[in-house]
Amino acid sequence: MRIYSKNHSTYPRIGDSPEQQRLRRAYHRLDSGKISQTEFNSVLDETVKSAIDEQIRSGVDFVTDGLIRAYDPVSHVASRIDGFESGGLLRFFDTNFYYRQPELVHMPRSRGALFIEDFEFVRTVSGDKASQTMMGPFSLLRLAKLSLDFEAALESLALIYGEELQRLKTAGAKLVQIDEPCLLNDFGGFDFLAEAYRVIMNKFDCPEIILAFYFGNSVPLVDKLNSLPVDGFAFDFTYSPGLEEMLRGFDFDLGIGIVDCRNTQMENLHELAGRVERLMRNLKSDKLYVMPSCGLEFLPRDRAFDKLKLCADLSAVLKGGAGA
Amino acid sequence: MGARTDFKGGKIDRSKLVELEKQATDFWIDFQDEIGIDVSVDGEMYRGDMVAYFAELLSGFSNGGLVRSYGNRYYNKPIITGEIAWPGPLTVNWWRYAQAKTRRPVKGMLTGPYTIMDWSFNEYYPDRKTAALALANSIRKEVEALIDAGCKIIQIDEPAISVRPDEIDTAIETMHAVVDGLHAYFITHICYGAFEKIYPHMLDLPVDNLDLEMSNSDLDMLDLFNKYPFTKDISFGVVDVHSHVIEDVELIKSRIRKALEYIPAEQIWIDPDCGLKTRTIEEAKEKLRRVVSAAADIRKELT
Repeated sequence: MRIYSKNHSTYPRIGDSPEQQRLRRAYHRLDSGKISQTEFNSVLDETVKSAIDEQIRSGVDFVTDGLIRAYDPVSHVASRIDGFESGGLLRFFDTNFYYRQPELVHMPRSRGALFIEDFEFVRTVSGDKASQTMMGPFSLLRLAKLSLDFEAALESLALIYGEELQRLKTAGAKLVQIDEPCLLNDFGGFDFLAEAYRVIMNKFDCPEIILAFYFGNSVPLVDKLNSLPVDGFAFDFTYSPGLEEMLRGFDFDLGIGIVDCRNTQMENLHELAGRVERLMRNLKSDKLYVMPSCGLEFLPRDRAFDKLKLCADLSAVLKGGAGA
Repeated sequence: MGARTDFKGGKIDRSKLVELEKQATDFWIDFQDEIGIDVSVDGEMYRGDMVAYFAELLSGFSNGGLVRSYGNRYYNKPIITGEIAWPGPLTVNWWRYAQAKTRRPVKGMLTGPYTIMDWSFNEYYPDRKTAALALANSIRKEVEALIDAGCKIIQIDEPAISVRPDEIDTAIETMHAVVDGLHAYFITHICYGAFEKIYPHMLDLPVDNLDLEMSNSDLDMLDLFNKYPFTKDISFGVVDVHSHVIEDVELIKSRIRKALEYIPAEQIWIDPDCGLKTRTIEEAKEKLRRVVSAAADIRKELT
């Protein structure tokens, strides 16, 4: 079994130091006309680079752009697809973070590439460590305001996502995480999701795809996953009591979101290692990704780094290597 | 905000900060009197954040770093690191200051224990419910202090309630712990969540008035009232506080008329969806002015 560590998705774009607060100041200055868009973009790029550098310093094998260019993970996708308009603020699951709810006003249509530029920036900074995360089509529609036919909209979105995944593979992406947290509140929609991913994987040449689930109990889902044509799944273990037992014999690539990124309390590395080692004895997975339970932006920056480093250290312990 | 930054940076001392906070409070009390609002607030000029304010004053908390709320807005998310205790009145002096400036009733404004728990990290209590009930003990003491000072309307903000439907019973239990046996008109504010998952159960909250964000979600919660009538007083949010758009008085009136289709007039209070701190001064003033104007026009229609 090959063991890796990766960032889940988001990374804090602010911290305690004045340097780590440049982006916040830049937004204010842009709003008040004190800096140009070009100057703002420069600060944004530096902030993303800084977040990538920290992820690399933590020791993880795969990094993201922290979704720092995103207002939120939902509107970040919706705003790049024709057919969505921006709506009111809504709470993101059970967090104290708010997303701007998109409204689908006509069937989705492609406007071209979604994340290629973002990905290429990460790749320039981090090379082969670059990975991409995006909110998936099923969850995007479930989080949006929708008066159109869900199945038809999902079918259109599947084609748009498929094209994007193919572009990402051409651009050198080896690993793409697609977040589908809404499935955990809507098991009845499983067949719709499954069909969308059949379209994506059968019609397009995609990189390695992991579907990620969080902020809900994944246990009822595990037995159904065999029918999904993706490479692996990432679970939020903090919401899923009994998940380790359900994963006996699991043979997909597995992302274990076992480091709780909704709380600042630090887990004990060796207790976590013991738990994962017991899980690994019953797995048939080819690859294991040690990762945060969810995006890191719910934590203050210093603790986000500590949690990500814990993932890297845990991965090293599991591999039996140095550096823990 | 600038003054608080200057204070943190040592550029001004606490007495200067308080002086500026009082000036800002005076400004908003005077404005609310000027437009003829029925029930005033002190505007919370002395609070940076609705949870951090209480976390900084209650024992048992440590300061957490900045966490993003939305867009370019951040807050210092506190960490519960020890036993929570009430050190003495936290808001009473400011309430007294504001009430002395106006003949109109000024609401006492508190953040509820469930929300403080949910919007903090917890490194001390064994579980969420225990943490929330510990907070409820302290918030109750603050309510008692406000009532002793003469406050008759107390709002206990619980925006987090709509977020975890499986914990609505905990939220109801903690509200009971705060208010049971105390005599005041109690309001709780809940916003930006999936109300369909907690309604009508949220009517079991032991308060007189539920203050709800309605405009941000295009009044879609009214559909729920069709099936299960709204049985409490409601503070009906008629302007969106997260939008730069200043609503027309006619639009606001249409929202009030819509509310009247579902809830008797005597149960309806009219207000913005939520707090106005994210708006510019001019936006906040104009939104409030139009809320008051619309309410006055509808009152005339009803008499």
